[in-house]
Amino acid sequence: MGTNVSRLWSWAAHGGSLLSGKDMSGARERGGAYASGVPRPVNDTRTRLLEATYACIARDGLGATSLEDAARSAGVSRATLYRYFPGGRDELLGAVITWETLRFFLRLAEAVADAPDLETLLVDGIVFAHRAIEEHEVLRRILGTEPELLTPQLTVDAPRILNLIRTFFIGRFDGHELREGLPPGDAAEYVARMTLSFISSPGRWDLSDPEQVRALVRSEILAGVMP
Amino acid sequence: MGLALVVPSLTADRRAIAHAEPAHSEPGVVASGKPPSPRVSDSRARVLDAAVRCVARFGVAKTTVEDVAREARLSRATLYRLFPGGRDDIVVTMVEREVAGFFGTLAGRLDGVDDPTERIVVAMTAAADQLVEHRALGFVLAHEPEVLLPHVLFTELDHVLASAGSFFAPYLSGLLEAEDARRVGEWMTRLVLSHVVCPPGAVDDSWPQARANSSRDAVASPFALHPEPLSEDRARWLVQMFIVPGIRALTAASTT
Repeated sequence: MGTNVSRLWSWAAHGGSLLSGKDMSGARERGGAYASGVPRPVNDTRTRLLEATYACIARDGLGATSLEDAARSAGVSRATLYRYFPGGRDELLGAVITWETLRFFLRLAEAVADAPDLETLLVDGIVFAHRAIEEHEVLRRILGTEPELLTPQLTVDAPRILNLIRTFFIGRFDGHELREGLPPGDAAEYVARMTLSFISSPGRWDLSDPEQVRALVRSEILAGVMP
Repeated sequence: MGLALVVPSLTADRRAIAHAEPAHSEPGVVASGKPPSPRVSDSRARVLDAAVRCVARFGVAKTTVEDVAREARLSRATLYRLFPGGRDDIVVTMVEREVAGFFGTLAGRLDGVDDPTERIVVAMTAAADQLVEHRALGFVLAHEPEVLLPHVLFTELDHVLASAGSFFAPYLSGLLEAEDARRVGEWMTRLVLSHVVCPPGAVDDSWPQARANSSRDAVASPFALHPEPLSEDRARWLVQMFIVPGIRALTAASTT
């Protein structure tokens, strides 16, 4: 498991705590999350609330999920929910969207953790991400029935997600030779912008075909990055 | 609210692009494909101009036929005569015309630019500028993003990419085969949209601090457009650094 995944994990974990204003030091005491060497969601209350709310959304959709539904699902009182999400239902649903988005990118990072080189990482990553989005049932249902409840939060989160991916690639470029005169931060930002764009919208490319993805990666993504 | 009607207009703009005119020209020609009488099309233009001004002030959801009629200084009856489908008809036609105007303005900016690489720089910069300067678009994104975003994300974005790709491909005909030219058109569009949604200032290491300060704004946070998401310098750098080598790679791949 590369450094990048654990760095990404701390981003996501701290992203979660910063959203709530609470610190995650309790998580270290529990220890269990990293025991097997595979990162799992840290088992703190905020995460449990997000998971329970996600279960409601998976079952009933965003529009039909009330604060009461989430509280019941999590086995807590409304007051408890308000303590963690003072903005109420809107903040809770927004937090769940952000959380699942971060989890998606963590799954993606894990999928490419052992890639031997940058080109393979990008090809495997794009193929994986495209399939994962196509097969994400909750996402597909929401996009089909109530996209207006989802897309604003995704757009608000986009810069943060971009930064997450950029950080991942900065780590990945460490020790790798890039094109002369191209700072790693700039290369990472470019690659992050392109991959984020392709993940949700294939455009003319068939992202289920690894050979097409390889052609795409070699031309549009890496041609200017590699020496 | 007939928002579903907006989707066909965004995806049907191949027709609009084929007739791409600067924003001040006959909207009627673009929308229906057949030229109306000059008087009718002037009046329709007046209504559409008024509609854009209303949306810039109140947004799509709150703009009524009465608002548009008042702004256009025409009667409701006249409005319904010009746009029998009422409010939805006006909104859809307005979007079609704005999209056509967008590409028409781009075409104007590209006129006289002969170097293909420079055309890419000019097109990207002009596109970004137009997007962030469009007051009605800015209002919708800031206050009612749910009206627009479902039509331009995920698979819906593919339609936007295809339209933009088709528009720009002819400008690269000296450099690339049609299919590769369309790919480059899409590529440029991806970068423009990426910078509009994630402008330079937003992508830095201050994320944890920024997020902690705005935790209450999670879903309600409006989406405000950065005044200069893609400067000419930055566009030129992107083109020289990534697109030019990529075009070389695309060309090499196509000829093998």
